[in-house]
Amino acid sequence: MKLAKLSLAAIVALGVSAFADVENVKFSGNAKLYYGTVDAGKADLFDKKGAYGQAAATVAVSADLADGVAGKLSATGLSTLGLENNLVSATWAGFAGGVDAQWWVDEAWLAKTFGNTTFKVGRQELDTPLAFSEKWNIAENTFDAAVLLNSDLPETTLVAAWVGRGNGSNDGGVVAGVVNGSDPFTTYWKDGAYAFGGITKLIPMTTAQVWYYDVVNVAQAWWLQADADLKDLIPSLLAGVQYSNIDVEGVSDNASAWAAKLGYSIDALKLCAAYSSTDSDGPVAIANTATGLAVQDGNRFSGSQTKLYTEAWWNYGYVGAPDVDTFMISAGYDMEDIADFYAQYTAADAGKKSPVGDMNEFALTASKSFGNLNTTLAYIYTDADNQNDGDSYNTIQVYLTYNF
Amino acid sequence: MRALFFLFSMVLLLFAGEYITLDNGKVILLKPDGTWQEVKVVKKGSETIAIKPDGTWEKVDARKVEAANKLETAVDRKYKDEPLVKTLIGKWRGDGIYYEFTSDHAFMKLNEGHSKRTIEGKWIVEKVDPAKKIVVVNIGEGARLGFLTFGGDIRKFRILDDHTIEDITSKLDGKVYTLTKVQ
Repeated sequence: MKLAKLSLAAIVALGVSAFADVENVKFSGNAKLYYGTVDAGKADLFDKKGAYGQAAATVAVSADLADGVAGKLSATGLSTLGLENNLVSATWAGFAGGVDAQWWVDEAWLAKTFGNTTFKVGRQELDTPLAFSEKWNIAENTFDAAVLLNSDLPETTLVAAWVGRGNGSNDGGVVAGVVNGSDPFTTYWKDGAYAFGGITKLIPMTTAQVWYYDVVNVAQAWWLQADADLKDLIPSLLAGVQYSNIDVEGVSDNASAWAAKLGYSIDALKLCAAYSSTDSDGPVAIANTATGLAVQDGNRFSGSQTKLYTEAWWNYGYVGAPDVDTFMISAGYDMEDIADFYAQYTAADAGKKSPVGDMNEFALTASKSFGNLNTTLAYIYTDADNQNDGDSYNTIQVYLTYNF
Repeated sequence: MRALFFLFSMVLLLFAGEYITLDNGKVILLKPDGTWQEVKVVKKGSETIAIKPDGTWEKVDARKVEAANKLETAVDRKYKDEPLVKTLIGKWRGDGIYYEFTSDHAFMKLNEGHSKRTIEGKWIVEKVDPAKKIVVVNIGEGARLGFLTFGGDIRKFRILDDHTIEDITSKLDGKVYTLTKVQ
């Protein structure tokens, strides 16, 4: 017993001593309640059968330790709060888990910095063009990965990443549901993936990035992008170009897409116009490989989000699909002390070879914060060939997030 | 084993005993000449011991917390007098991100998916790295217990020039925001 007590004391002492080198430990999190309603099919707005809602909570602890070591541990839980009894008939995320409460560890990583090199390993978010955490939903997908970042070259960051597993879902719900305590993280495609990237600002006024992906035994992909701040030519003018190519193993045709945008940003006003075009013979969409990519749901793609400039505000799965030309315009204005407003119109024109139909979307949002409570109200008009029997319909969404 | 017990006792007392802890978590020694020095303060019996960065230690009289609070202002002022930190004062806007810094208040607004995340309140400078031109600030924390903080957010900035900064908080996730000063 004495030995046990001493051992416990030693462990506690060592543990606390280790904490003495801690620079900062932060506890934080958020609680969310999202609601949406459509007047599609036989449902009117705010009818239970046309509504979807869910609540989520995330708690996290992050720490900056001594000697350039940092870490984070975070868990997310989903619950319908019983909304399905009266108000809604569907959820936002984690569809496989149904209406059961579910939770999982969404981040658990350690990072160590050596000079200009950082190594981060564990469960984490990623933000690369073809493998990323989608943040539009009430919960976001994450990855079991190892990432190496180096900035020895001036104005340049090099990235090498290995992705072993992820919890991205191909059913449009972003995250795989937790069923009876199951682990929602599964092998990334067949045998994981590697990604290599370079982001540089060496070109005057320009941020250029090149990414190469090897989704092992599935596909290889490139993503090229250059964003220029042309303020020296025309004040507040921005321009960007993108190109991506995905070569699926065992398929003769590649998927590819290009996009260009012009933006104008001055103070609280932001305007953007963009155009994109995808190759007509592509076997997969140019979209997030973490949440589906090529899986079809009926006659449409799964709804993976794409990083192409023209991506719709709500109706994902069209812009990056094969044989689709898309035009997008948007305007945002932050009206001080009133609200932040944003409007976007997206027109996706599908060709004969496209697995999706035409889609037109108009979205209007207003966001306002009340202390730590952030609110967004959204209206979406959708007119898509493969939705609601081709008839247009309206959507209203409410996003409530309380940060603590 | 006695040394281990002593260490254990000292470390525990560091968290529970009478010592001077600033709002930003630093422990400082007030000197008679009016200057101060960051130290580790521990309690040994009825005595208060300050362990200095050079490894030496001495007995000190722990002042009242009020004194520490006054000094917190001094420490904060010292940090905020750093040229790099002073550069932050003002309004900054980037793609999907916005900051306002005054001397005692900060506001952050960040696009996160389809909603926005805002944090505001007092801000504390956690660290300044003049060589790398990096400033780490803690915005709007709700409470602090030593090095444990609750709520708010820690943001890391790289100062490029008087009109351009980078928010490198999420650099490990692959995201860096470039912000320009709002005139």
